[in-house]
Amino acid sequence: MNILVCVKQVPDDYVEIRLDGAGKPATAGVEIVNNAFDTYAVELAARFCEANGGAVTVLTLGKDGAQSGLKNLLAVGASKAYLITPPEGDADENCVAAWLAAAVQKCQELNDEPFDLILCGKESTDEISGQVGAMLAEKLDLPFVSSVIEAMPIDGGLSARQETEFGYIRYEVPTPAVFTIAKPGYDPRYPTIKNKMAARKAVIPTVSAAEAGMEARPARVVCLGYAEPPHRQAGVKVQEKEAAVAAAKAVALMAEAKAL
Amino acid sequence: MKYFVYIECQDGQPLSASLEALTPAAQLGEAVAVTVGSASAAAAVAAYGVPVMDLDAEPCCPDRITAALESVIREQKPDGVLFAATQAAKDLAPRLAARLDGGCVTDATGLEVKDGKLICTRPAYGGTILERLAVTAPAFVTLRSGSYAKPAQTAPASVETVPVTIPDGAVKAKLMEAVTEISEAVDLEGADIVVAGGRGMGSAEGFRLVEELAALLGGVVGASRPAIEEGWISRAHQVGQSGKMVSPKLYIACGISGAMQHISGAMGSKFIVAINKDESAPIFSVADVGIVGDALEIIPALMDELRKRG
Amino acid sequence: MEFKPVTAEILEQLSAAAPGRVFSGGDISADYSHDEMPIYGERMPEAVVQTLTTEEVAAVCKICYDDDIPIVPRGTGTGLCGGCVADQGGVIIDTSKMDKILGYDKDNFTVRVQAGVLLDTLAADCLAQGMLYPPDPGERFATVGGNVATNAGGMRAVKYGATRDYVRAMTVVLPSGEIIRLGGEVNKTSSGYSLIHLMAGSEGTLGIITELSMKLLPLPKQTVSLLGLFPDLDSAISCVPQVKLAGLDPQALEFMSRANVAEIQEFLGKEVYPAKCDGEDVGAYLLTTFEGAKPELMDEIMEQAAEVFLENGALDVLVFDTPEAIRTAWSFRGAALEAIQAKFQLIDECDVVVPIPNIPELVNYANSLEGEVGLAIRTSGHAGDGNVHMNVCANDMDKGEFLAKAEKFMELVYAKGWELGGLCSGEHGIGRAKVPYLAQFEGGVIMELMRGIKKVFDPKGLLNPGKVCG
Repeated sequence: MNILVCVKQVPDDYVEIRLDGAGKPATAGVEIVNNAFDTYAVELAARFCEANGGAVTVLTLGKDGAQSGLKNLLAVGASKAYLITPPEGDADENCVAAWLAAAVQKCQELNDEPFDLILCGKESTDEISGQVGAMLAEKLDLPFVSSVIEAMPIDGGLSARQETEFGYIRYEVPTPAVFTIAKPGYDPRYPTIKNKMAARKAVIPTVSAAEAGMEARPARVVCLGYAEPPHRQAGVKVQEKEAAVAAAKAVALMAEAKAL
Repeated sequence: MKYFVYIECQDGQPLSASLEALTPAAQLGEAVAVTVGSASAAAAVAAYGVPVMDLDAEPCCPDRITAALESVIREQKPDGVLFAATQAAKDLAPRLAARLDGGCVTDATGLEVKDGKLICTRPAYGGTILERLAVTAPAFVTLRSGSYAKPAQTAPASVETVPVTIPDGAVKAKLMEAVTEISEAVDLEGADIVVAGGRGMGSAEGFRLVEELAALLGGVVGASRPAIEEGWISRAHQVGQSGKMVSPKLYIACGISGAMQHISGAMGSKFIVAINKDESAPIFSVADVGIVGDALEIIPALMDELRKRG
Repeated sequence: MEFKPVTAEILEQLSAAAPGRVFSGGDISADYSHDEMPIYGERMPEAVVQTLTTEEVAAVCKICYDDDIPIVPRGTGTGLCGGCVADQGGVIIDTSKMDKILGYDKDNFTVRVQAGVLLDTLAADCLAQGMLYPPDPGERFATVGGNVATNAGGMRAVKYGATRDYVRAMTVVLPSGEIIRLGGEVNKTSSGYSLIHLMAGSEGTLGIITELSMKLLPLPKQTVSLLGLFPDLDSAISCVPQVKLAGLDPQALEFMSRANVAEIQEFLGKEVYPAKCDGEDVGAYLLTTFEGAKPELMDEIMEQAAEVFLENGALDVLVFDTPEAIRTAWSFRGAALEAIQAKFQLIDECDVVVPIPNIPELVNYANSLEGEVGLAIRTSGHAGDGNVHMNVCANDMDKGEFLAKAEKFMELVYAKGWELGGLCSGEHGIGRAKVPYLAQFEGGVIMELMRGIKKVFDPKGLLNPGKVCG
């Protein structure tokens, strides 16, 4: 099965992003990494292909410099990678999904083979909107299942297990299909040196927006500005050498505030 | 302006979070509630004084619900649709936005209309930053639970059953089985006391202390994302950006450093107690009482103290 | 010297010096009776004073000194040798509330701090300023003052050296209450005896450090961690000298046995270091970090280091080069001691340091003693600088029996360390627990010199009595 994973590059989510002096998210200096859920998608895809045959292609819409993130994925199960530069200007999720749809066609053309399955992480850790995968499915008019944690081949398609709050829902879809991936019960693998070195030496084909047939389009959602959420006042700090003393003080404070 | 509110149902009853969305819809202009194939839910919603359209379709799978909503939206052309930000709605909203070439906003916490445009406020970057977004109609907005109070019940409004056309081939993903693994009801949103644990509990065994404290206080157990990902407790307990928004009277955060991802989910709490051994942990900047110490030692001491009080 | 007790009158004087921050009798927290190794004996001090300024420390010292009362300096009490325990009574001066970062001199790459600043706080703050505070002892909740007093080392010592190498200047209170300032914010000095280096590592027996100027480094641009998977401990450790010989300059180089890793895995409930490699069992691991200025350079270092690993018997090498991967790999290693503590009720430890080529012999010897001594033995440590942490552990054993067995182990392993050209402690210090072993390593003449030095600083022998050189 040929699987494409769409990967967004985001600021390291371990670093807390606040507003800078100009009132914009202060992402300067924060290392850019592959979105965590997208790396889960690559691992799920790699395991799927190891078990059932096939190959994993990764795609990033981004600028020059995004190659290193793609190379990281070539070391952990992806065998092909494409970097496609989207049109300039403001974009909302609908724009990104439309461009991705064009990019998917372009990658198929370059691979000279269609994809059977297209994966996205269920959301990105920066914007956390979780829209793009669903929109991409619509643009491509393909079956869609979100928050998938397991995929199995069945006759003529796939069986997908969607994680839900209380358990799971199992869907069956014909291929090709689009899934978004939640955190499965395993972590992405770490590359071996051999895979790593091969990946570092790989040359990633870069495709322009025009070559990929992407057009600038109006954004339906436009960001007017940013604000910081209201702050809460810090209260009393209890710092005692002995746990029992600290506990007594804290409970007294809770009782005083009628919190108990 | 006319906004639809999609009412999600569970066991034939509307979700409380969906009812909350009626409030901003009414503030923005004319609100119409939409249920899919549930007369009982439609009647329950009408009790809040908002007219209801019950779409005549089986709500048996996401593809069918999407198609039913698409049909009525194309027909009636509202300025937008509001949803409670549930897992299901977070799929519905972008799919409809893509089909109808509208704007989509996830997890909005505030809505207003300015110069004829809908403006949404929503958190990004784990909740450290709020975005103000202008949305071109038709707008598809999921609302974070707890952002608005649900309206008071008044004289019941009308319920209309509306036929929809669902094209052949609309259902592409066949729902085979829905399995409930977590049978425990975890009502974090409605809880008066939440005791939550994080990475600082150290291990699954350490996390049991959080559960013991919650049991002692008659509270609900919460957890931060690291504790969930370590598998110490099921994801139904997650508090924060990718989990539940809680607003209890008392919130006790144990071994939680207080990444914004988590804090943003607990900001609505009346009183926050934090236990962390790192004196400079960000959780202390939002805590009413911050106990500096190892949660593994402090929690047993707290339980002793609470038992003394009876 | 006969020590005098802390009387009500003394308490009153202390309270005048540090109002509201003097504790005595039942008000003293039990934590003050021990450090992280209560197994070496516990004793409550007669009084605890939480000081806020150098002047307060000086005033307290003067009160005690004039009245022949022992003085024991203490930070957060995270030591491992009983160094901050008032085992002969007297007054503990707790500097942990002196926790302010006083300021940076960015052009000069220095930071001024009060001695009670937590290592964790300082490291994070420096990072936010775009600079690196290189010493990285595992215990992040230790105070910087305590780190200097014990010359703490840690994971990065293999490249950057220990805490002592980062002390530019310090303010010290002598037992008599005099305040002196040592060193300066300069890059070199040839100005008489280096008292600042004597003070670093003196474990609070010569003076009490109250303020410090610490050297910082520019933050390295690129880092990559490699995990070597080896069939057995022997091949892993034999590889260590080769990494150094190849001219690679690792920032950290740690070894772990499969048993260690399995325990951590059980403790954390997740697998990060694989148990198998192409079907073969992994017996030991080498975890290392390299840094460099440019990505291209990293390729070269990575390839070269991996080659050294593979040539020396590694089954394979894993690469951790994203921020998340590096954090995961190292926090896993960082949980080693906690994992042991979670599994065993009784633990004793030592941290002998030997020349790097001798690590395999020392480690193999220590591991081989398990049967003879009758205790579980866990070795891990900083392979890159020859510092081996050896823990002896037991469950369900009488404490007396455990201590006797542990002592037997210590005697054997210290003798081996000496034979291999090693020193008593790489980074934990001597405190009270290791005094006899230090004497064994250093011999009578050197111990006498140490005692002589102590006498110059502390003629009455009141400051942290009985520690380091007895």
